[in-house]
Amino acid sequence: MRYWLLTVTLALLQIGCSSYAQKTETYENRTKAERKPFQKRNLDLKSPESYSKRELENGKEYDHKPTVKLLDERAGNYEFSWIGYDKKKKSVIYQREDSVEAVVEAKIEKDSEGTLTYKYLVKNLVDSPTYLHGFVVQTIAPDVQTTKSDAVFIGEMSNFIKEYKEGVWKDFVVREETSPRINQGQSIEFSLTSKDLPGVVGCRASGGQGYTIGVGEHMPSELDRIVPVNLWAKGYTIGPIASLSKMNKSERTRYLLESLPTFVEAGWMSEDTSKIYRAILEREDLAGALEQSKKDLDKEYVTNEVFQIIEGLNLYDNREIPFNR
Amino acid sequence: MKISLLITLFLAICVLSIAAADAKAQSIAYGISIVCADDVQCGDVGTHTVDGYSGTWLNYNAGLYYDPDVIGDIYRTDNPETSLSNGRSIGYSDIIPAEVYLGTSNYVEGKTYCTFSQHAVWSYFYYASSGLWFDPGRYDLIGNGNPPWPGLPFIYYYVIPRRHFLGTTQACITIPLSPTPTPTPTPTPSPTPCDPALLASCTDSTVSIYLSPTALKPSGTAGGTNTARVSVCITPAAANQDASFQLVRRPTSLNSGGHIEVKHTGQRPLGKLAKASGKTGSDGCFTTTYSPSHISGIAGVNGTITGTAVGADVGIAVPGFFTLLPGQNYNLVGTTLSHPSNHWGTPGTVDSLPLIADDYKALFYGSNPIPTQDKISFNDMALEWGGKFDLGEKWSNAGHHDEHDEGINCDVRSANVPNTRWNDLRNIFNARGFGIHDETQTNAPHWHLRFGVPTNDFASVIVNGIEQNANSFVEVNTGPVTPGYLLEQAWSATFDRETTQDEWENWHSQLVDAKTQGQSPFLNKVNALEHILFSESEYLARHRTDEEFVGDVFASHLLREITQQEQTYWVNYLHSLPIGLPKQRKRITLIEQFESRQAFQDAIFAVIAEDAPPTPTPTP
Repeated sequence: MRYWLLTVTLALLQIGCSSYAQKTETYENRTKAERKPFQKRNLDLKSPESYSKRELENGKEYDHKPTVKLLDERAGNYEFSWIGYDKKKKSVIYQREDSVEAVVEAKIEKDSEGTLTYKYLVKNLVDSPTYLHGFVVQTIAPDVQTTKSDAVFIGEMSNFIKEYKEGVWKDFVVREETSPRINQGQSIEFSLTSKDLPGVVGCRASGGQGYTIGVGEHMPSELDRIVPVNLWAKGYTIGPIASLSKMNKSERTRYLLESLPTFVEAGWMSEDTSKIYRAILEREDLAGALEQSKKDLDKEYVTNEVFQIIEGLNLYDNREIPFNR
Repeated sequence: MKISLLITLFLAICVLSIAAADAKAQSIAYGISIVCADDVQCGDVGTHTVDGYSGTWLNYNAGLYYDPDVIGDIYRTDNPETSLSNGRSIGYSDIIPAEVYLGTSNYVEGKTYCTFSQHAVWSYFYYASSGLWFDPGRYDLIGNGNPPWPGLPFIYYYVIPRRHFLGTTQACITIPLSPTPTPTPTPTPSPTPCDPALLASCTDSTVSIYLSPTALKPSGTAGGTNTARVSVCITPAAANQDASFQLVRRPTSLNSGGHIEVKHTGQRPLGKLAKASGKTGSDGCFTTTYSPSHISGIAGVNGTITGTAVGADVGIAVPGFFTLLPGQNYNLVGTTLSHPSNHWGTPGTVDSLPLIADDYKALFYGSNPIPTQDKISFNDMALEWGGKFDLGEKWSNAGHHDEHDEGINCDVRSANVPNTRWNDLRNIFNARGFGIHDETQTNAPHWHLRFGVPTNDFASVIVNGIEQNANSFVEVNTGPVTPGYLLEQAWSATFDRETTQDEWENWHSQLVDAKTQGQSPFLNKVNALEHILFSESEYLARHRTDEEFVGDVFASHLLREITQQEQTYWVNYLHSLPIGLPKQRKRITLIEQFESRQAFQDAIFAVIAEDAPPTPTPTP
């Protein structure tokens, strides 16, 4: 009998320990969120494999040897060279704009009229090989406003470019005439306003000069075609999306579920954290997801971007103005 | 062949109403159209060709302020929509008239041929604010102001040339029928085939030339290593006959591709033949390959067997260019007499450049007007058909503008942009999708821009005239799209009626067969169907406006209504095509452009085969 009691006690103890261990794994052993830097493009720049010889005014041809040479992989520096009409070597230096190593943190502030100010703090990382030139963020809302500033050029990317065809991509560039360069270890904040809720949007960062300097004669066409245009580093952030406020609860839940892989890709949560949210959202428990995100934000398992997206979708459900915190 | 001396000449005199300084003096332009066939004066006796001439001439007073312009076209009255030969020319003052020499081997007895000419002049506006005249290629008559390009004595920086249409002239000729031949006994058929050794005795032998494809890209452009296969053949087939090819300049090639020949030194390069002469093979043919040169335009290829020559033309062009039209916030500069139209480009390039000017104006002038001299100045882009933009006017592939051949480049002058704005302007270039090669510190200060979106990518975005994300082909149709559904929609769009039983059975079986062969055969079959429908007299009789026509194209091809933006885009495209092209030719060109778009092809590839074709409801 005593042996039986001991067995039962040990078994109960084991169950308790096991349960505790499970809870610990769920809430304590996860990887903390860490925003990932903007990603470089997968593009190799190489010398043209075939080309026609150049023709001189007298009709004779010569080999102008168009060449692309990688000077510094990390800095993204290339030399485009050829033999000019004057038989001298011409050389143009090109720096990939996606070589900048930067990260963006977004936060949202609300004023008394319900206007949301989206603030983007773009940090040029200490190891970045070049200065930060600009930042582009996607908006998918009709009421987006920016404030003109002497320090920052604000434009819009052409939606003629396939990459920027959805929504309006706001282009922020540090004006060299009026602002110091954002060198390694420094950061700059850009902002825009909208009344629309935040969702996941695309963004870009560019570094360095962004153009090549002429040497008196145009680059041969086979080289000219190799120089990339707007080769900017890719990333994610949050931005206003008008359609979110029109979604019903089921659609909002689905939106979040479908966004989970992007949250992970952006470093806004870890893979194991995303499993917890997937389980909650599959029950269509938006309020549960909000509660989870509050806890996770405090413990740094999710970033502010995740919390503010979930908060917006939750609070709007009750027709409240979000972001009262 | 009896030589008939026939010449018809029509002379029109138009008095220009010019608000110029010497308004009291009379400025006169002469419009001339000539057509002739087998004519001594035209120099084509016995050639069985129809030749024409279109000209615009100016008198001294008109020449002070204008250059003549003419567009000429030969057509047959029983098929007026098809141009047999056409061309354009821009002259110089009263010294060099605008002249186009036309010619066609389409010589059919009993048919009437006409030369139709459109006459215009280019004027050069005087700007009181600057005190300068547009003065391309002439010395500055006023002698003040600073030339924008160091070392060049003329000024063409502050003003915009404008074309004034004067009117048309037309001359027609009917080819007389040959006298009825005296009946002769029917010759006894030869029991053996024509003896090659006695070819001259083979009265029934014919020589033909085959050239494929008939359109190539100029060398140096992407895809410019293309060649055409060209064969000259004798029928009945005879081996070991002397055969040769010659590259020739025809009247139609004059000024083609955007190059005005009289303003160039030397001769237009016509490309190369791998072999110029040889013997026919057992199939009666001698075959070689033709490679285009770097210059766009029309090249003639003549093939000869035993002294009988036949000809074919090959067009060398980068297809699909649009012209950048004048705009409110920019100046178009750099027009020269050798290259009078220098602002051609891909749709993305042409649509994006005005946005740069708009952004620049908005940033620095807000809602105030921008002074003309401050406007962004767009210099050379590409010529009408692309290819080498021979800045030196010598047809040479040497020299600058190496890459202004594919319609994605534009030079923007920096001289009238204050240095303090350069960084902002560069940011605008970037935002609008252009890469920048900064030549501001060179002898010819400018920014060399390159539109960075590949044409194929661009073909699938909204500004290319088809909205990808709205009302796509599959979304607007509740049920699956089948060949039968496609047919009914095409008939409804073009003829505004349902198919008849015969039409349905004929085309339905063709579409279903093509569908089973794969995507490309199916696409080709649908393309063929659309071309036929839009060329049918039943459609032409509907007299659709351009706006209605592009709507019909959308309904027929994408099975949905056109949006306002799409309509504007495609109507503009139609209007951007060369003025000399007959209306129906323009419309077919638009359909071809449309069919090359990814959105249309995606729609066609989305058509599913039908298991049980629905019973059609034929028109009673």
